[in-house]
Amino acid sequence: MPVYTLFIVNKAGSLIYHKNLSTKARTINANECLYMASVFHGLFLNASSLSPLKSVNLAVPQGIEAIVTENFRLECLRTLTGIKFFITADPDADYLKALLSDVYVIYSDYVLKDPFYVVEMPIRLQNFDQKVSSFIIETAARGEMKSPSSRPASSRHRP
Amino acid sequence: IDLDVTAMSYGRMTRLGDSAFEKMEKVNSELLAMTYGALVTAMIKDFQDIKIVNEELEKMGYNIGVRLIDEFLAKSGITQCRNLKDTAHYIAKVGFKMFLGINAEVSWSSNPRQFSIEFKGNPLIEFVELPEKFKDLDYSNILCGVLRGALYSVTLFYFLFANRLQRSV
Repeated sequence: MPVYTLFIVNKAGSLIYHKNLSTKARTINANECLYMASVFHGLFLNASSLSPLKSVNLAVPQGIEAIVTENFRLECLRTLTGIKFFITADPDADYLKALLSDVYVIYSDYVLKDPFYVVEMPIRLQNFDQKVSSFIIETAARGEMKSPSSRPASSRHRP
Repeated sequence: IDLDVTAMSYGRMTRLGDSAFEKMEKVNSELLAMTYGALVTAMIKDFQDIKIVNEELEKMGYNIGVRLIDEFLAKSGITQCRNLKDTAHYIAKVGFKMFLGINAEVSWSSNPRQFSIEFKGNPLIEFVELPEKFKDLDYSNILCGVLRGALYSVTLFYFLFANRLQRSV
């Protein structure tokens, strides 16, 4: 499964949700997770000043969209309300942008519509947990089938 | 250079609103009208003062708005507004259509920073007749609150929001 971990960070920069979605993902303890999420938030904010291009429309906050390395790939979606969804995955996972938009839809349906959930607070909702995990694992499995490394195997089985 | 400034014409916005409306889960509009009417009646009984009821409806709307904005942005896929004109049209053509099935129009005042959104069919006021003693009640004030809450969550700078409801008889 090429998708490793999903993080959700609120407007203030604190981690409100994280989930390991694969056995290959590194298990990190809760404190380290919080710390790393805040570091990413800081990097995100600084990225716009580091960029050589001046943003045309200042209303849209600029920041890190993707970090691609040899060993992993990190993609980030920043919503207009200040929430950041970022996910780490295998370097050849190319479906992450669409996946993050769908996670945003699931967030709006399962988290915000819960009357006991306070906005910007840590998410502890079983419903959301299950829905997001099953959705991402399913998408990752589908994505895996489309990736070039698995194509020779599937074509072999074609009659 | 990836400039993400998509110039959406207002016709496209209407189509976006319609397609978003198609995809949304729907509930019986009479159920909504009845429960909203019951809510307002209960509030009037509890608070007695019409002014307080207006304020409370607006506050309720505000709390709905701060959550609704994420659903609106996620399901319509809107990324940014270039200016206030875009904001006004997105609210009218996409927002109202998506959530209430209302076809709304934007009209501008002489002040370029002031606009009003008008629509004819309001699902909240189905079956409602306001008696004379409640003529100061802003029955659909919850909608004003929703707009205030939603816009407050996405603006980078603070702007004052003045909502005036005009009931058409």
